[in-house]
Amino acid sequence: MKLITQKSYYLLIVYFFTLVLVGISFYYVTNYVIREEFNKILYHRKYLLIKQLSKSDSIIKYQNFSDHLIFIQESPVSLSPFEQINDTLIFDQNEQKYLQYRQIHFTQKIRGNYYHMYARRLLIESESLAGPLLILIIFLFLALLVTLFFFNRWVSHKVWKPFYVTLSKLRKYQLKQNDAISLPKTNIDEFDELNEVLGIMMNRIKHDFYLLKEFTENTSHELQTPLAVIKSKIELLMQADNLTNIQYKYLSASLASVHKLSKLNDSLGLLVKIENNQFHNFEKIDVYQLIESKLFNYEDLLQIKAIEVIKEKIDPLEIMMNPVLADILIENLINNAIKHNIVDGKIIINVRSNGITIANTGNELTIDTSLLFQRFSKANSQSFGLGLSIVKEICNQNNIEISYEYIKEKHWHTMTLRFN
Amino acid sequence: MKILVIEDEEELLNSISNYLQEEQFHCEYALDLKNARFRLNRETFDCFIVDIGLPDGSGLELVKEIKKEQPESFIIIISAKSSTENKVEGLNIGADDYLTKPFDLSELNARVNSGLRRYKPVKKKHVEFNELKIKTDIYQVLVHDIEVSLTKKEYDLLLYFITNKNRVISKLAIIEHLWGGYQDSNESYGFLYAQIKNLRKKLSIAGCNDYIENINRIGYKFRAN
Repeated sequence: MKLITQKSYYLLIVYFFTLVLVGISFYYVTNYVIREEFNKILYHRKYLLIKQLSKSDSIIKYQNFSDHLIFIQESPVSLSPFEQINDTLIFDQNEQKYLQYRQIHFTQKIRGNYYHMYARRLLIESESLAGPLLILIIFLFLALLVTLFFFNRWVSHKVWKPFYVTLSKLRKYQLKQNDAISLPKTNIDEFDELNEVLGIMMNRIKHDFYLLKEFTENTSHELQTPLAVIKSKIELLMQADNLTNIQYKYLSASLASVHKLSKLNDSLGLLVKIENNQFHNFEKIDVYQLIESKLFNYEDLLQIKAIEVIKEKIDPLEIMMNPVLADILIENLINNAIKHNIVDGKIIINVRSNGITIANTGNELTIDTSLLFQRFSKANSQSFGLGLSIVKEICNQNNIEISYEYIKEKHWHTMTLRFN
Repeated sequence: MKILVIEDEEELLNSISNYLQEEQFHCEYALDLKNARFRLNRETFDCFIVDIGLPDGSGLELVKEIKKEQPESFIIIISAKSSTENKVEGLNIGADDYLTKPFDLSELNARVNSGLRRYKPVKKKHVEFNELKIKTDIYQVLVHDIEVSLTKKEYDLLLYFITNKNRVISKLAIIEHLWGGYQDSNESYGFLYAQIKNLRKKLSIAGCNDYIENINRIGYKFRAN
């Protein structure tokens, strides 16, 4: 739920209760004001009545004016002075129902006689007051609802705009990209503060990230010279006469490890460089031609393993890419297709306008294929499992979709690249 | 043949000069740019082996200077930087070859020899060894003056062996030399055995002695005596 919607819900609840309260108060206040007003009128009527009665001889017992009623009752006994104003219900013959009146009831002594006097005035019915009031409240509530709706829309477009700008920038942000994220000034304190804190946080993360990258890069770089020393010493030692078999074995194992370590270093260094976007220049690359040249390099390996290569060029395919990365990408894929192939196996390469497929025969992989592109997930102990993570990284950077499929019955491994 | 090695890691320097000296090269060395410039201005060398990361500057600067001062010499860069861009940069400013650390000394030796051959007259481009003769300018191998047809890999292998004759060469060094990037050790050993078998067969049919000696697990030696 959006913050603004949530806020609106609460607002509406508050509005609702406020309106109900206002309605009820209004109802009572109106009633009170009307009665006060009527009281005044009735007092005035009383004054007029007394004045009129003291002048004239006859006493008209019953008078019915358009808006009020006067009713006089002679009392046989003497009455003490009395006065009361209240509401009273009186049955109306015409309308056949009780009507509410405001009435002043007082006693008066006129020329030795005592009278009960009543002056009444028809009140507005409570229901006829409550009805319109209820409609008014409902109308007001609806009006608020509509206003709130448009207000919210306006607010979320205007006021929350910087927030959504920040959000979309953060969503698109990639740590690996070198350009710093710029969060604009918003004129809203909260958002400015948020942007500022985000900026600081991201700079810190970025700084740490680059330190780590630099460290990896430097380490892999700095390790090469000591490795070169070790390798050269082993090589010199190898030249010694009279080495025993076991000594040769040790040297051989050391040499293999140095070799492995330097390959690991190379691959890690390359990965870091790709991640750091250090391959800038783009060139038009004829993919089919590149594949052919790579296959040519591997000709003797293909021959030794007796692998048959079937190339299909359905459409010509040219992509804009860094030539070094394109080279590494295709090289690694073809390398894998040969490496994980079987003797007398096959490789089928298919080039279409939107991508390429490289399929090869081979035994089922022992590793979880969902981890295939992850670093250090390896099919055998000889490799580091960096080849495909390099491939994946190159694909990521160049907006290429890569997927792997294994058809068990036919023992086919298929790598599909889709160029977007 | 005089070689100047410029490398700040002394132990590596020792290894290089130790290996190359055995090949009848006269090896001299400099540990930094300053020293290298000093030597450069006083003596001429046939070959320079230059490390890029030197304590007092980049070896690339030195390569430029060498190219200007002694354009006839052969320059090999040895560097820990393995990317294609670094290689291209090095070659563009005048280096003749680029070797990534850690390298095999046998590989360095092969590169030095191949480089030095490049500047020699055609006659001297021929590598001769007993009944074997390799005309490197036309990639031809002769046994008792009769041509033996070798594949590209077999030719490279033979030349590598002869260049590093009487040396134990590790299988890994040969694999690296022949196939470069292809890294799967188990398989590449198989490929290597196949190549060596074929080479031996072709040479022996042509009446050449079998000079290639298996050295227990670790590699081979092209035995000259």
